[in-house]
Amino acid sequence: MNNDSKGTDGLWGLFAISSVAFLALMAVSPVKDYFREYRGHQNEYRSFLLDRAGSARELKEAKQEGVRVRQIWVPELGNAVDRCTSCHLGVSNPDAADAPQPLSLHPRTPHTPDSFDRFGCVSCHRGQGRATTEEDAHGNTPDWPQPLLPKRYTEASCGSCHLDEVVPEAAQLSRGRKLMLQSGCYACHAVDPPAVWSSDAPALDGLSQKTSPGWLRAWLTSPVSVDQEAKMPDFGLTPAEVDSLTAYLWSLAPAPDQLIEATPAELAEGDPVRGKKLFRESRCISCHTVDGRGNGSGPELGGVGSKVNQRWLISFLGDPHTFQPATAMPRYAFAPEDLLDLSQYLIEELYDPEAPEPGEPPRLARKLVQGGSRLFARYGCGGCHVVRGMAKPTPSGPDLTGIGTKPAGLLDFGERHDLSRSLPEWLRAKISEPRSFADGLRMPRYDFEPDDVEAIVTALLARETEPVPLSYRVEAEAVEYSPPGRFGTLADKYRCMSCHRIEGAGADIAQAPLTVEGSRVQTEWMKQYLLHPFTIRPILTDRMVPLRMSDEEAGFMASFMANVYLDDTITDDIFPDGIDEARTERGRRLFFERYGCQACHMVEGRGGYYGPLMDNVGERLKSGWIEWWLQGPQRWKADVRCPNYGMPDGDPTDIAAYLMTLRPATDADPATGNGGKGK
Amino acid sequence: MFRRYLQWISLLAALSACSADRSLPSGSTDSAAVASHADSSEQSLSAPTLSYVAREGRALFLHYCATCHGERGRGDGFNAYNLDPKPRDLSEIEFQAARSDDDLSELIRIGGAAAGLSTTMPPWGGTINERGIHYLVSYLRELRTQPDEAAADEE
Repeated sequence: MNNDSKGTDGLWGLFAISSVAFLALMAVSPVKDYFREYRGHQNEYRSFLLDRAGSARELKEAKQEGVRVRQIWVPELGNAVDRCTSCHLGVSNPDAADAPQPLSLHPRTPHTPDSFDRFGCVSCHRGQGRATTEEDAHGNTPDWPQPLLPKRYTEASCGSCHLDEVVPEAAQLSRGRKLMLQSGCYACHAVDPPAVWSSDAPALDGLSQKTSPGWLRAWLTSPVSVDQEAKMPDFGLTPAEVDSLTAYLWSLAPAPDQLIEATPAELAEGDPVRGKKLFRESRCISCHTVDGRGNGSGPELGGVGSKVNQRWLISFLGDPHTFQPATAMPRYAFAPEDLLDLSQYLIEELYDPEAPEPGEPPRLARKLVQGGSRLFARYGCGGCHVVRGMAKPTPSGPDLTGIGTKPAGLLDFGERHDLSRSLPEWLRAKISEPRSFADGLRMPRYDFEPDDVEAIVTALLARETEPVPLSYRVEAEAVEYSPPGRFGTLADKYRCMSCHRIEGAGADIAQAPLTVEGSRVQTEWMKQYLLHPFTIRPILTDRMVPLRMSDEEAGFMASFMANVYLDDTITDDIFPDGIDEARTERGRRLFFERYGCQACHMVEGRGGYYGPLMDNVGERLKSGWIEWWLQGPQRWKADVRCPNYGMPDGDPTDIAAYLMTLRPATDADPATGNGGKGK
Repeated sequence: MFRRYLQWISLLAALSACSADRSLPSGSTDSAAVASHADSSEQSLSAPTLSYVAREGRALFLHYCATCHGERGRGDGFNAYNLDPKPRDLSEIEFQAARSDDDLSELIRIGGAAAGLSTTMPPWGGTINERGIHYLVSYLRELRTQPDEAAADEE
């Protein structure tokens, strides 16, 4: 040892101490890291896998599972980096179905567990993807704008990419979107891109011809107390406001073509008994309800006798489209005495004794009317109700674009100190108690069921600020189709597309699109059906209504469909040379014994009551159609309930042969019930 | 000797400092937790909601099955009285216990005839996809008669 080393020992000592201190300092981070939550979960998951390992290979794989931060990187979706799988380890492992949380398998949805790579986690669940602690990741930190979406609203995220009203496998979102369109939300709230919707609220011109001032006052005061199923929300109007609005509405003159002639001064007395028969024959309750019974796509008619004026009713039933251009109601070809009798029945029998008194017509003082006009504008009534010559108002409520991702800190909770500060909670309260936040708010009160509120909250949460990349967007092309020429005129007169879809356009109440109707049914049958419609599927409550069209019109419509609405891939008649008996018999056995078709279809007096009755089907359907149908019914319409049996070749043809023999008894032996031969 | 020890310690400390902490930034600073909004609102909702999978299963069940099996799966649907044999009561505790999820899926897929049961239960494998059948089975489990319901029925 020399002296030099003695001098440097002190320095070395200092160096050692500082190194140890440095080491201790450096150790803080790994120690902290060592105690991170995900480490525990990963060890837990490893022992879960070791317990489950059934083969040497699985055991080896389980042993190799190291502890590390795991992440899903989705460059094309906003460069998302989601580290959720650091704790949620078994999300794509089918063997982890019964593992404890957070280790278990993700429930099956259209995109999981197969497409985590494409969507990550946060795009559906929100929260903070890059975080590695539960608290941070679930977004419950102040100022993290998008906390984890409560599980029951996760479907909202389907709506970021799926922009159509109906989203398959997202029932709650679809329902919410439908409710928003039906309830007139977009009359007051603008959204970008604009919502495609139309109001079915009545036009208001000539209201004084239609109803009584007393009824109007009661309706404005509280629509639900007049009709439980009222679609119009409650605006909470004060009596003075009701008076003003009544005066204003009363002052709206009918358009010249709506003017109901006052002569003859006395209406002749109609026959209510015959009227009732007409009401039943015309199947009005295919759309309307009476005291809640019936289908309900049209307005409730209970109490209509105390609501409308008989003269107006006669004119309206004669030509609904003049009074309500946008109505779904067809124009029935009623004769004048039919109109009188029908209206007599409605006025006398569908009378509500508790209905408001007719009351005195309001004074049309200028100040009152002007006040009413201002209220009409203030509450945005024109957003739903048409008044001729008045432009549709621009939506005056808050714009809802991006409402679904609005940070809770930016929401005005007003007087609602009871609510927790979260967006879903705020939305729920806004929808159920819109005016509880502050005085002077204009949003009316709807009577939504709790499930409806949840559905609407889901639909609103889907309105995100940032549009998803185009490659993720799913949106059907807008369909516009109206039938051409004379068929189009008739289809408009009878409002066929209020119930039937053609080329993707129109409503689907009938559940029977007409796009390939010509390939489906025989022309003569169609003509007779248009003249005298009857029940084909007993289970449907919405039945085809007898429109009282002329023989010539029915013939024209049937032959138009036979020539235009065709699927060229379907042969009309697959038995041009007749049907041999062996084939028929084989088809019959297949129908009853192999495929059990009688479970749903009634035939020969027995069987189920679900699908169309099969008696006489041989004069209704085309043989080629039956064969085509049996090869895959869902090709006609995706939600057809008749199962696709995956029949082997030949079976559809044989069953078609059997069914074609089911014809009316005129050319068959009524004793056996067996039909005659097909043509 | 002492010096050698010190050198070793220093070297080790320096090395471990270099290799330490490769952990990723957590993306946000540690901060006090705010009351969990999601959880509290979850509890404040009274309506007992079905899971997503069961909800989708219910939609399918109501569309394809309820006409015969009934809305609650009791075998009392609109079309049941036309059928012989009658549709099975799917809510029965014994039935639910006897059939595994895989059994139920398979039966829905291949139908009654192929399983040696009635031909009136059609095979749905060509109509409802695998995921749909999974949803359906999950909803079928929700239909299981609860013990208190069973007791009420016996009274």
